[in-house]
Amino acid sequence: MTTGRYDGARRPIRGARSRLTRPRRIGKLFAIIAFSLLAASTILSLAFLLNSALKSRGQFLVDRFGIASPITFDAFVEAWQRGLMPGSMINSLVYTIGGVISLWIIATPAAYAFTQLRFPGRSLFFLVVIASVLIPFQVIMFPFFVQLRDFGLLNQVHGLILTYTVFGVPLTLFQLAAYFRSLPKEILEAARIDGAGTLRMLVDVVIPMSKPVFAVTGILNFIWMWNELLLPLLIMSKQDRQPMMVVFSNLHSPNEVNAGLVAAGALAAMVPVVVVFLIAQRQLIKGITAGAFK
Amino acid sequence: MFSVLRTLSPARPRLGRDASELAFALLLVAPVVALVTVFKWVPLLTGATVSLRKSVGTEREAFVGLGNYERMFTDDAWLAALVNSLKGLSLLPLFVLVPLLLAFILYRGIFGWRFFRSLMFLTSLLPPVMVGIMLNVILAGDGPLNALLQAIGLGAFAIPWLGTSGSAIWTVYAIIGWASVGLGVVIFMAAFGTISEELFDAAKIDGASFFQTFFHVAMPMVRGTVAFYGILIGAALLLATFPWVYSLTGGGPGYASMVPDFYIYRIFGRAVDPGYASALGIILLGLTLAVVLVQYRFIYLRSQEG
Repeated sequence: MTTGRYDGARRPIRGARSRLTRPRRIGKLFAIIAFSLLAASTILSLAFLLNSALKSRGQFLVDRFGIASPITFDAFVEAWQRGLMPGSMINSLVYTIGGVISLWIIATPAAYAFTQLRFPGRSLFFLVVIASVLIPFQVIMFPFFVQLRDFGLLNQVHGLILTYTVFGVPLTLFQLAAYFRSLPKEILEAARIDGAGTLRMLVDVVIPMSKPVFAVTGILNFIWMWNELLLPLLIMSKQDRQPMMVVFSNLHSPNEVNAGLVAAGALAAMVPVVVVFLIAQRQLIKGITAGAFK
Repeated sequence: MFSVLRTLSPARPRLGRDASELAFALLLVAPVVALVTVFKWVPLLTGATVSLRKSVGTEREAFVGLGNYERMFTDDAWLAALVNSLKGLSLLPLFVLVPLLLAFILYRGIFGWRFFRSLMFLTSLLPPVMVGIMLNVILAGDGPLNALLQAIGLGAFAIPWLGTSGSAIWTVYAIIGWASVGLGVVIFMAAFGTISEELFDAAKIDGASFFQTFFHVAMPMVRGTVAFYGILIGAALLLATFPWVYSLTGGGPGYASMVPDFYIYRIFGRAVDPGYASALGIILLGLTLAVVLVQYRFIYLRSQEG
């Protein structure tokens, strides 16, 4: 097979090499420019947000695009007050961390049972749980709401945590089950031979071996629960129970002229997700991509 | 979807399986099964029956059969929402192929690829509501984007992107695409990682150009992931547009950017007509199932052949 670029002595003809690499180099340059533009759109947007948040209200009205100078934190102070902080942040933390822990507690034993134990209806029950992910919330919004109301769960901390658990179960169960199934059988068999009963297997063998999947599910759940708007919007009507996402999104109304306030609020609400991302980026990527290949 | 059952272990030898272990196993799965059944499946059935009723003022529901469903045909807002859904679905190929191409470029390695991937991924994790609020300001008629456009001579494009009927919904979808591209890039880059490097070496020896390698080597090898991602985004375009529309346009101007899941929320919250809201939800469910199943049958299954 020849590419026609070699003379008889199998030495590249002058110019052949640059023809091979020139398009590559220009292509790479274009790619870098394109990605830089894309990156710039994100970075500049966030920079504009930060810049607006560092201006006083007067400053912003006078000069919307210029760099904030002098830098004031008035907007953040006002966002703190209008955003019902620290209450709303505490609410967010309680609901989110509560939801994450609740899911761990409920889904782990179930995943263990589904993958390690035999019982009638095992496949059916598993399918029932996993398939529920297809049910759009909007379809069940009203009956769900009525159920919560009838059970006295509206405006209750445990009501929202329960809701988060219900909606997080299918994905978390799936991830846990996939991981448990991949545990090396030799270790499990060895433990069983050593006389470990079913419960001890779960607590002393499986769970300690499963730190990675607990990390991944915890992080993923934290992020979507923190970002969630619709569920707390429906379930928590009392302002003092509302999480950050609800309260801060209310700062942005057609009547609100103070863009700095809105900007400061938006930044504050994004911070926890960014922090989690910076800490756990590698885990996150691994976790998301683990289930994507069929 | 039944491949999901393969995550369950194959039959194991019955080591002392007695009634107590059976009861124990059922006890372990009971909370999960009960929660999902009580709070998702039952409401689904209830929702279907509620959709056949109508609240008239303060009176309790009266049975109206398919009346709620008939009403949809004359509901301008709902019709606009459905049309907007179709517009969104028409963009689905773009939402899948753009991250795919970007992922391939990064995968083949350019300077700073790790940074680009991280930044795009982070963007996809940010709360949609807040990103929406941020872009609402940036895309305003007198906002920074338009100022920038004017500065570089493209002043003709400096319209209020979210406030103009013609452009509103497309701007919303563009934003959704922009924010979510990072997720696709991460998934596809990992998928490319499963392709043996020898294939790319062979392609290079054969003198394949970058795009030839992309279309004839890389894409076919990851078509399963592509199909899966398509299903994911298709469902998201129908069911997850709520926070975006809520923070960007509120469905406006008029009904120009109305979408089904936001409209259902509106009906539920303001009009307090649960029967109608449930009926709309059933239709949305039907539409979602149709989109998912069509993709599954015609794209995903085909991707698994050969």
